[in-house]
Amino acid sequence: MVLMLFVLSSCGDKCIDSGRSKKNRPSMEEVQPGELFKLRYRLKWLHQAQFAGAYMAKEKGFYQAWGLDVEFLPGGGDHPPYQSLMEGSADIASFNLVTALKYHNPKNPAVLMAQISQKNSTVLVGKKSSGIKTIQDLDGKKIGVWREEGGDHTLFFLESLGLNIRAIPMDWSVNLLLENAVDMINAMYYNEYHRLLMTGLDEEDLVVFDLADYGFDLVDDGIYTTRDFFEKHPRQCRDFTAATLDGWNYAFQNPEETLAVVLRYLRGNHQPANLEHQAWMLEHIKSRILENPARVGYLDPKDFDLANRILIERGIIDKPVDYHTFYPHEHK
Amino acid sequence: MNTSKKTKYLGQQLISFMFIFMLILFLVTFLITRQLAYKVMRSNAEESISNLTETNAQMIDKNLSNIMTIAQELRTVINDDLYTPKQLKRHIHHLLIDNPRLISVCLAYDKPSTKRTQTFYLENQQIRSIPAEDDDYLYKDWFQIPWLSLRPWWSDPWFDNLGSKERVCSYSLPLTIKGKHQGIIRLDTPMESLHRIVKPIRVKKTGFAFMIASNGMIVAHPRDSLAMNYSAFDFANRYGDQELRQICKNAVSGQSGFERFRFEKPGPDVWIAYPPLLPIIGACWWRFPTVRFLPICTLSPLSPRLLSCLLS
Repeated sequence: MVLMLFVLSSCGDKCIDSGRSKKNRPSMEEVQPGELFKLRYRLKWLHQAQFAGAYMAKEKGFYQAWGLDVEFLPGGGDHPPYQSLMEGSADIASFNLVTALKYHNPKNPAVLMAQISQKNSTVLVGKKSSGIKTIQDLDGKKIGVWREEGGDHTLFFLESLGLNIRAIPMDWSVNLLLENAVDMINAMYYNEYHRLLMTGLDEEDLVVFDLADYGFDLVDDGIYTTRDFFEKHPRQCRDFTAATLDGWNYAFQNPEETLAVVLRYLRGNHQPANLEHQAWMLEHIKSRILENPARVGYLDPKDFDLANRILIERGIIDKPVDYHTFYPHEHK
Repeated sequence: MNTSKKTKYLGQQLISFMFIFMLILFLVTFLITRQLAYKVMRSNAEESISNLTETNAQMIDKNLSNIMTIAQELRTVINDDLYTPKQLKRHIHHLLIDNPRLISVCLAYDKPSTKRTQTFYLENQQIRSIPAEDDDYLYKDWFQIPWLSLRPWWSDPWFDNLGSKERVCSYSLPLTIKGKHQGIIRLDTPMESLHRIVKPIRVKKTGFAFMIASNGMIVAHPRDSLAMNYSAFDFANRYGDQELRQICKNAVSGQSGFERFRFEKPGPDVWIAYPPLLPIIGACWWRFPTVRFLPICTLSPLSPRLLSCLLS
């Protein structure tokens, strides 16, 4: 644990430049509480270290310093973030790149403010005892796939294999695999994979297929808003992005403090609060955010093209979405 | 003069030899006695801890196997289509009244009959039923696991905010009507009744008991903050202790044992006892021979296991 915290805190040269000078950030004393601009941020999932940067941006007053009063709304299957954004129950939301492209609506599209995760985290996990050794062994098998937006990566991947696979829509539980009700489940390496290890399964008991190894390195968590909101409040959108990236920077440099804040959010929302699990998550999220330390929050056109191509191949969209319309304030 | 010195020297040697011999004898005797005493004490401790854990495991098992029996009987009633909906509701009402540890019953149907899904519970001794708000339950463990695996299943504790509004542990089993697989019967028992058994258990000054589910999750512990937040494997991981991890693996796989390990090295020895629950379930099976489907229970071990942890 101590080692993990040390690794997390050793940010070194891999620290985040939010792209906006901190000198421009007003001091907290300059901003009066009454003047704060209220923003509702729908998280991609339930509270966890996956959103530690946003928690720390709020905790350390970064949002407030930019004149923002941010309210966090939990996401997940009960509150799909894309839907929530389009319905107007959130101003800003976090979801996957493919979700934004899949539901692309030219009249009021989702626009990307920052691409937080720079790497795919979705894996398929099963027990070696199921006899699955290669991807071809999935033929005739049952695979647990998250329902709603979260399972898109896996569904596109499974469809591309052209095998006879039964996708079972599921919630977040790993018990379906533990009880052998399915042969494999989709999992985030930073989350469910660790939870499986903490049920007594060893790494050598598991067979893991990383979607990235099969040409599906689809980047996941990004921060989005609607075109309308972005055009009405461009400054607030930019400030939110800058403060969130500052929050991530702070989180990586102060993991112990960050984990204490994450646990507070979990307890406050009656969710299981497990320090070890959140530390694992923060460590692995860090590697995904800092995949390219010089361009944190940036959407690489190659990643964008890959997502466009996969959606066109799968017949989900007819033509590629335009990069510059989709990502209007590219990082310099 | 020389002879006197030699005699004195020999005398000293003899005394030294005897002293060393006595010392060795004493040490050997001490070590053997210590080892024997340790074995006797360990054996006594093991026996008393095992008795304690098994007694409490039996109490838990009695609670849970009672729920299983009711579930099997209710399934038979529904499968055989013996009652009209009104009679069925009355039957469930009686079950809820007669079994205080049965807090609610849910009859959950698969598509396209999800609107028929209802949860029954007592309010002022009167039966109340609530329809499902939506079909989200189709993706919950309590529905999905028995539905896909076609066998009964004990859930992890969860908070039922629709029916009983309590943290419950559910037993679900597939519902087949006229030979067609149509849904799930779910019976809920309050976690509080299991907590009441586990939490007060004390062994000497430092020993205590806790309960883990078959996936390692701590479901009852004297330190409330650990329950439903941590897995027993988290602690093995925290202390980098492969021995503890193995003990946890043995426990969740239904084995029994009484073992010693150290959380921290150097640190005090910790004894941990974990009793088998499966044979106890087997005993219940024989105790209720009239229930037709109980052999299935042997395929579906009760998820909670009781561990008694005695800190030396």
